[in-house]
Amino acid sequence: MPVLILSSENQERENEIAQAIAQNLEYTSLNHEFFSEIAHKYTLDSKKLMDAMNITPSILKRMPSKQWYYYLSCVEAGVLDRLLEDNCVCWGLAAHLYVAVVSHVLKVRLIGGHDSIPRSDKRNMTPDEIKKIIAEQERSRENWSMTAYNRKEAHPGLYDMVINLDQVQTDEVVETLSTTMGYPRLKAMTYSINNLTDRALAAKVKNVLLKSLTDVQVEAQNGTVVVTTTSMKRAKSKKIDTIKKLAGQVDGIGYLEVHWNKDMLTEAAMSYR
Amino acid sequence: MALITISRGSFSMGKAVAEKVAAKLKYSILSRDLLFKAGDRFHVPQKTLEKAIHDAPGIFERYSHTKKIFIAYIRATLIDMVAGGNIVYYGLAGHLLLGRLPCVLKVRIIANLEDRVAGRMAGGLSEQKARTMILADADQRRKWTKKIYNADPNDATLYDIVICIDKFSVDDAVDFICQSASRKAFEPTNDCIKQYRDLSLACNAKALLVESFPDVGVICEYGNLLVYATEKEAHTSKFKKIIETFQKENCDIYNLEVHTGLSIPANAV
Repeated sequence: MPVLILSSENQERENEIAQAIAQNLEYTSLNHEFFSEIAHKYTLDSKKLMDAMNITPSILKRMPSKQWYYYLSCVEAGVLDRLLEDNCVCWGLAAHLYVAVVSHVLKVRLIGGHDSIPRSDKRNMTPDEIKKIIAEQERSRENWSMTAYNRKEAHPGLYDMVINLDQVQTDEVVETLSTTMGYPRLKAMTYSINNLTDRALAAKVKNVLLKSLTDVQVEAQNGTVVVTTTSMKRAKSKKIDTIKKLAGQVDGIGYLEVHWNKDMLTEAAMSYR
Repeated sequence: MALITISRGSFSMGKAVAEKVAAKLKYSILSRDLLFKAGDRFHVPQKTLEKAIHDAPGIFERYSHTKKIFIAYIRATLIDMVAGGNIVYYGLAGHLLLGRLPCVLKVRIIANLEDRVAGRMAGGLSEQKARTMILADADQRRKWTKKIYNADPNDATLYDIVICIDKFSVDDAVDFICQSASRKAFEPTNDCIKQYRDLSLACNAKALLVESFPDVGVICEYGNLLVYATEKEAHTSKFKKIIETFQKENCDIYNLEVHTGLSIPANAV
């Protein structure tokens, strides 16, 4: 069964459209309310978790890089696990950035539709000020998505469809997307379900590893998990053992492979000591 | 009056989509004919016009204004050709040439690079050559759009809908576009017809002036034609003659003003 992922800078209209589609199609909704569930599941501070979804890591903002990546991995693992249940409309959880090509997942970007500044705030602003704030918001979102997933959030290539809301009404978008979700091409197939299951498994493993480690990339295919890591040569066996031990706790792994790369920069720096 | 522009990269199935949309909505289809017509009207070889609308300006063209002249010719011809409405235009830069006109559904079709390369290879090219050609073409389009309109063709805000054809079949994309075109926002209104007429006057005036006065800006609002030129340009007899002839030939012009020494507004042609 298909999954719809929506992304937009205009949260007000995104919410409105997503909820209407979910109601229309009798799909479950997965939105920012899910953060509290994730915070509870992984015992995280929910305020910090929300912050991690909006800011890039910075000591000044009391969000160290290691913690930031761990928080993101918790969201990723939680959301992907939930998306496996199908028949779902998901928005506000940055899923468009980590759910790559899965044939029964439709990723839609909603642009325009005025702007993301609340009407009450706009009353005291000049058009130039509004433009400046919007440009700043866009820059900050791009910076976030590039740091987190190395993808430009606004790039149309990331989505299956981009709809400009400037000339269309909310109900027209709802109707169009509801019809689109019924297209036979979006029906879940064994291959696409396996694809999403592999992504969910990789996200779970990454989440377990990022709790105590850094510099890990995880991929999964048909239950085989490949972890790629970087460290100094002297820490190689210790790091590989730790990865095997930690990843072994995750259910569903058929075979685990660890690829190790030498951390040339640290090695070079240490050789001068 | 409804008009659909379909922008696409090479081998992104845009042509197939455009043809099916036109057939389904019983609209006329327009692409290369535009260059034939513009060439005939302004006595410029079609190859030259094709180069002007496709290739990014070279070092010398940046100073000689040739691109500006040919694009003004193409734009004036396009506006006249689509004036009757009910047209699907899938040639180059339709979404930019028709500017901010209402009732124009601007569609972009995208496809993943591997499928496009495979499509190009079907013509008998090697994979490497096909990939190089597609990337070079995309690079020219990106540079052209950046230089002429200071925009990025990958910027989704330039379009009303962007469809990734990999996820859908051509028929799905056609259904989607036809459904969007039938929306109220794209229905022709009196205001929309007026704006077409105004843009047509402005583009035609610009096309006549551009060869001798490439930096002239033209705006038309409710039949009032405003020409922005420098003091020196406005006082030449050639300028006056062109303006007078144009006013005589176009009875739609309500009033014509020449503004000198003012900066050209951003929405001027």
